[in-house]
Amino acid sequence: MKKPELLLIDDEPMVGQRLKGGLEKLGCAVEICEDPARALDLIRKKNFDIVITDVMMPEISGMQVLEAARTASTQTRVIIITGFATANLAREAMEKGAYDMIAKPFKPADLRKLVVKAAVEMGYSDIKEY
Amino acid sequence: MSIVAIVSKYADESSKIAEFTALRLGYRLVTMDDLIKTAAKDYNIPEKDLAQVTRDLTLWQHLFRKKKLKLVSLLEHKLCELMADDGIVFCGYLGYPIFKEISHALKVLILADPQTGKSAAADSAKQPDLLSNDGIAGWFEKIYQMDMEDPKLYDLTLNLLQMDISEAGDIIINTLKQKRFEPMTYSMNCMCNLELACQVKTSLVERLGDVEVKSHDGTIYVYSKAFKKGGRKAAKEVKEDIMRMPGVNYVEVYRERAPFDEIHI
Amino acid sequence: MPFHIRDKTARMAAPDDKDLLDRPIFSFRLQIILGFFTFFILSVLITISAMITINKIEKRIATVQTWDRFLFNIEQARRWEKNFFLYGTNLKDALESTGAALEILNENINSLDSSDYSWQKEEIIRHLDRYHIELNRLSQLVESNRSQPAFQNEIEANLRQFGAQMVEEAAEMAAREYEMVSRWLHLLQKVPAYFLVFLFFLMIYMTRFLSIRFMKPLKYLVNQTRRIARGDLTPLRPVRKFRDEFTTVEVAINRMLKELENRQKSLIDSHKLRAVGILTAGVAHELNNPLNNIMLTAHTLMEEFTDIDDDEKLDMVKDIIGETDRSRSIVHNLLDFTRESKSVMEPLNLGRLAEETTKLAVNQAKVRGVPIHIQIERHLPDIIGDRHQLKQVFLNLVLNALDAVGSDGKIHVRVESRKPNLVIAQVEDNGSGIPADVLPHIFDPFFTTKPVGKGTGLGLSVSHGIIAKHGGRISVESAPGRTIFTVTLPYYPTARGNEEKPGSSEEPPH
Ligand SMILES: Nc1ncnc2c1ncn2[C@@H]1O[C@H](COP(=O)(O)OP(=O)(O)OP(=O)(O)O)[C@@H](O)[C@H]1O
Ligand SMILES: [Mg+2]
Repeated sequence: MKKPELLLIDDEPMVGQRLKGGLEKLGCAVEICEDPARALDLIRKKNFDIVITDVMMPEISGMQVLEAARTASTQTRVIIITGFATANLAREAMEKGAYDMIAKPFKPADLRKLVVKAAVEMGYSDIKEY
Repeated sequence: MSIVAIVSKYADESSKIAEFTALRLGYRLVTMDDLIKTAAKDYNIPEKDLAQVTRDLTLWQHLFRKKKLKLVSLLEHKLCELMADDGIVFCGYLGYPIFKEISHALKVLILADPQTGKSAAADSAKQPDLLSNDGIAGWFEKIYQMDMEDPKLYDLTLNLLQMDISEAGDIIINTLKQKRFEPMTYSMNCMCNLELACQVKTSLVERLGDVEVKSHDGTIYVYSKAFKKGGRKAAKEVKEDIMRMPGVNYVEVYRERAPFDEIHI
Repeated sequence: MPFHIRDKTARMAAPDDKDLLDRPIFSFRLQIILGFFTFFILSVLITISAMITINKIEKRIATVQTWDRFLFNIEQARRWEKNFFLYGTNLKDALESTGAALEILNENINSLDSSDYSWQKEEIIRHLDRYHIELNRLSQLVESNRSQPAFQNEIEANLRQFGAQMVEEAAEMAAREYEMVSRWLHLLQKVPAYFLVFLFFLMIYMTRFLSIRFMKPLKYLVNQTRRIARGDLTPLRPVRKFRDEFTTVEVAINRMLKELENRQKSLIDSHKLRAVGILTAGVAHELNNPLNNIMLTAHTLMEEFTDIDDDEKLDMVKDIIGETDRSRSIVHNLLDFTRESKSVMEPLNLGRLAEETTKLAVNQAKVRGVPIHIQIERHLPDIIGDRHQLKQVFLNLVLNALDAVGSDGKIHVRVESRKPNLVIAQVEDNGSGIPADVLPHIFDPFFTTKPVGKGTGLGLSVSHGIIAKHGGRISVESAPGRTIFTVTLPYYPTARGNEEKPGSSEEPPH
């Protein structure tokens, strides 16, 4: 069975470090990226099913990642995680096609729930929260 | 599903638009009367009292102030609960601070011909306890310290001098199709926070009078000048009481809002 | 953190007033009164002396008259005497005249004595007596009708001698007195002229004195108000040794300065809070990251507690501690800026200060995707200043730059030293620039081109006030695509650690 491809972008290394194990346990193929510029390259090369991105990163913002991911494939579900969540940012993200947005700090389980929901919607039926 | 909040001092026109929109969207329509009725039933309070308080222009005066504020807070809490449910169209002049913070609530201001307002006022001669148009705006201003018809407060301002009710309804429906008004985890969390804050406020308002409550993932922040006089003891009691409420895991009590809280970017 | 608002209007027991008021009073009123009083005394003196002089002249004239009358009688006597010798007329008249002369002399002897001139009283009286005696002898001779030509000749010679001497003496006295009178009169004529000249000079002196006394403090005040207008709010200090009407003005100005300073301080404080408000986006993001790390790590630890070995657990706990420290330092940095602090002038490294401040805004800049480059000269000399206020200036400049730049914005912060004793700090951005018609107003309070709620227009005005207080300058150069704000602050090579306040560029006391 094909695993959903997941890309996690955050300039804080600890985020990827801590989330990777849990996401992989769900049954995802997880790629971690701390440098948004490299993430843009990755997105252009390969279609990810799910992209999780921080918003405020040096040089390139999460919104740019979101746009890039949505242009690469409209199927891609983009989940925004941000340390500065506001109603305006939420609206902007939704308008640009984000799948969901969650504010930092969040529990790993909260994010996993979202990932499961997105993956199930995309047809990956054997993904579930352990 | 999203929320449509229609605010206007022209009760007749706006409720017609709300009805139209709710019907087309298949959303539940909640008017001020509905809100009052539901709240009266759920909280076991005479409907008359609740209705009275939404029409009371002396609300901010001292007599029974805290009691009245509590009723308002109760209504706001009920509104919060209703909005957390499924898609609703709310039409009324209460609860602005609640839907202000929800990104998936489309806030609409309806303007209309003041002349038709006059006839409504004439109507209210038959129902003397109903507020006139300006009375509604006054009530709003007194309780929220905001100008009800300030377009900056809304996502959409519709002028009924330029269109009829169905056109206005269409515009609302089309606007709501924009993705930006879709709910998401973040905004749903905001809703939960607001609901908890409303609940806590309702429990405090009778004791403290002017009180502001914020909530963030189970952490409650209480701001009230009342702590100035009562000092530590009152604050401690309040803390303990709130801690007992379900869903609360931490409480902070402040005497004043930090001024930079008000500044948004 | 509960918020305390200090009562800034609490009036202090104005210690600055004390300096001004602790001087003896010498008011202008008193000075003017003294001036006029001097005039009055002088006039009185002049009048009295004139009266005395006139009185003296009167007496003199009386003396002159006495002498004249005396002379007249003597001359009369001599004439009778001559007639007697020539024509043999009787001597009775001559005797009478001599008696009259003697009487005049006796009558006026006191007034003649009181004359300034010593006169040969004995001589004249002796001569008169002798003359009288000789006349008597002659008349007895005539009455006895004995012709004794020898005796008569002797008498005649004596008479001639004494008469002539007497006439001569009396005439001399009269002439002398007369000369005296004319001298006094002459003096009396000259004195008013002298007095007028004197008065003229006195008036010139008084005018000059008073106007200088008026103008000097006025000029001082004008200079001081200029200094105040430049933003230096140090209170006026006493420059004269005494108090006068201007002291009231000075005290009032000092009160006003104190009030201004309070106002400025609260403006600075409130604007500081605003700046903090603007920073919240950055700070929220900055703070939520370590919090998120803590949350994720703690939850992971909890979820995988049984699956992982102790080393990994330890690592996670260490991560949590590390992230907590990080949060604390963020909060500390912000609080350090927000803290209400007494204004302390201390030696500061402007470079380090600029760096710390820029750090506060770096997150805000990150939110906007604007890089901030910092370039600081090594071994900068220390300046004397108020840390918190100078931080605020830099923050204002950086936030303004941040507002001005677009998506490809860049901000440069530079600090370097300049000859002879200046440290300059520049904040440069490549934003929209400031239009020429806006440029003259940007330092005005409440001038802003930003929408309501975004700008209060106080940033630059407050910054200007702070820099002026530090004895420095803030200037701007702007073109589209390049705006540079330059803060110039003096340093004092010897001032390291001492109390000298650079703001008080006071003139030396007059
Ligand atoms: N770097 C800059 N580039 C372009 N314009 C600037 C710059 N700095 C200041 N200005 C102009 O000067 C005006 C006054 O600035 P000031 O800092 O005093 O107030 P503000 O920034 O508008 O408000 P506040 O500082 O209270 O947020 C600004 O409104 C802006 O038009
Ligand atoms: Mg500014």
